[in-house]
Amino acid sequence: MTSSAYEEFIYEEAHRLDSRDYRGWLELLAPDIVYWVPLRDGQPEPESELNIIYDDRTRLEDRIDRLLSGKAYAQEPPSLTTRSLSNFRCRLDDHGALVTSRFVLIEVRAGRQSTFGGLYSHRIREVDGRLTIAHKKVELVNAQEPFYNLTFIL
Amino acid sequence: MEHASLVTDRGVDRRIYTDAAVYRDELRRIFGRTWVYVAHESEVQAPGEFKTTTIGETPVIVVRDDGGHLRVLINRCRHRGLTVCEAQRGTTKAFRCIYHGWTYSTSGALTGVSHPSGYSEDFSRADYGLQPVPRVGTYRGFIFASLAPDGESLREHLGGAAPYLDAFCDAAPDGAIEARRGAHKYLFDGNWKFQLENSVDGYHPFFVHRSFFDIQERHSKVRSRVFEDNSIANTRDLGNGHGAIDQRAAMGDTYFTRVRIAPGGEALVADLEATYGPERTRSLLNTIAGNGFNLAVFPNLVLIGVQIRVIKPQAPDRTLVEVLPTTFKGLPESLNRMRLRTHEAFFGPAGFGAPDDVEVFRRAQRGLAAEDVAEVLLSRGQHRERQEGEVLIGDVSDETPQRAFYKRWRQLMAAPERQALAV
Repeated sequence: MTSSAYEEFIYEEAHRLDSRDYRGWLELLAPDIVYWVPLRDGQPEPESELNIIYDDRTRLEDRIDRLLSGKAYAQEPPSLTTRSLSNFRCRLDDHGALVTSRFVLIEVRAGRQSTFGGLYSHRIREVDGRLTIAHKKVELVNAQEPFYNLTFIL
Repeated sequence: MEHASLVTDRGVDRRIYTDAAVYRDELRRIFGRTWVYVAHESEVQAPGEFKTTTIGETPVIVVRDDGGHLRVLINRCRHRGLTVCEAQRGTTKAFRCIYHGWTYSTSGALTGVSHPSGYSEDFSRADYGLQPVPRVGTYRGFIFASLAPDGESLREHLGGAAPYLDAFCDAAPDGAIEARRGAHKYLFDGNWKFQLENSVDGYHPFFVHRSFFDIQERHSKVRSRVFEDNSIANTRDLGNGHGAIDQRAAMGDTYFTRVRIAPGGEALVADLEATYGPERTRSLLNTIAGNGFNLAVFPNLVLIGVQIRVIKPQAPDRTLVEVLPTTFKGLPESLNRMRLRTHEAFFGPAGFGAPDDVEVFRRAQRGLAAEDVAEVLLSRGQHRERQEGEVLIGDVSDETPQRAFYKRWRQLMAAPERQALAV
């Protein structure tokens, strides 16, 4: 596969998240997905420190179930988001690709508009011609600042 | 006296959450006078290690000085008033003001004034060190400071909360906890007292956190009864404004069982039993995700689960909260990581629980804008409270801790105002 196929795939992911198609988003994730939002710049690994988010597949499914339950009040009303991705870098290997990109995300919820930005690192795996996200790291530029609400999916 | 009367027999007046004059009065009469939690000793271990925080809105630096002494210094240059340290934490040899280069040692002494010939001979640098906060005290590694030169001792202030601080530390194999793995920080558009009240509110989890309990029950196949009406957990007025929800009697072997049935759990338990023996292993694992109580230490410290939570008022309708999960010194790293993961599951700005509380605070602040409805009701369980020694006990869903908090609030708001430090 070419770099552009991987970029298209990540655009599709962004589209599903901004459409709040969370079930559709889960379909893009590998069974052994790790979704990681570090709490500080340059954090080398998630295990030994506190993280903003450090989810495996089970916990991500729990997260989505909760968001869609109608009882996750931090998302009642839900966050409306739109994000723009750029500066793609794609490193292909035998199993797929490691793709990094910059993002800017606008979030609006309950009268407050917030801006988020940072670096996405997607580990994309190709299995039988189908792409899945095996690892997604979101390094927020404001990771060390206080947040109002990060219960939507970055 | 005027603001003290906003606390009534059944509750409080909405203005304690909304009124700017009440808020300014709280900064002086509560945060400007009583013991306020500032940091944990494990955050400032090595010489030069510091953390910045606030006492009310007063910026302070908590620092281990070059001689190993703990200092709490007002973060304000003695020349023209700038903060001299902007970093949240770090290690330094000195604090230097960016404006004219005045430099202070880690003990706060003014060590350098640029172009000193501009000051007359009677100018003494000794008079212009960073202002120390008049009183600093520690209890089991928890560092408190008071902007008032005089007043009750830290031990007197902690009173009935001290045994809970003890239990929080004594759960560790050698009685020492550490808070060095990172801090969650969140802001909300609401009054600081919402967070203190909510931290020991046993009435809300069943409703606000239903979505979390649903997930927990799906995995464990066990329905938690801790917050149901007939629960043997209870709420407590510990005196001096401190309160607790004490669930310890209802916890049983909840966490021990959860660890044992997890993948690799049996082997882990066997390993621990070889080191600590069966009884200590059981008690260690039963506190792995928390001690089974929520403690609110008036006015700004909360202990829940594995965490130290610090409440920092920023405005009548804006509050910053810092949450630090603790690890146990001497515990196998795998178990400390379990503590961190358990904490992440519920807390932090993306957790499955705490953000829903924050939404509660946001809506409360909005609702309380209604001037025509003054009373906020805190009377739940007033008719069934029982005194056991020094402690007033209510049912798990009763507002006993909130009433405890406002008794102290009223006392402090009625007492004469403290004069500014004579500096």
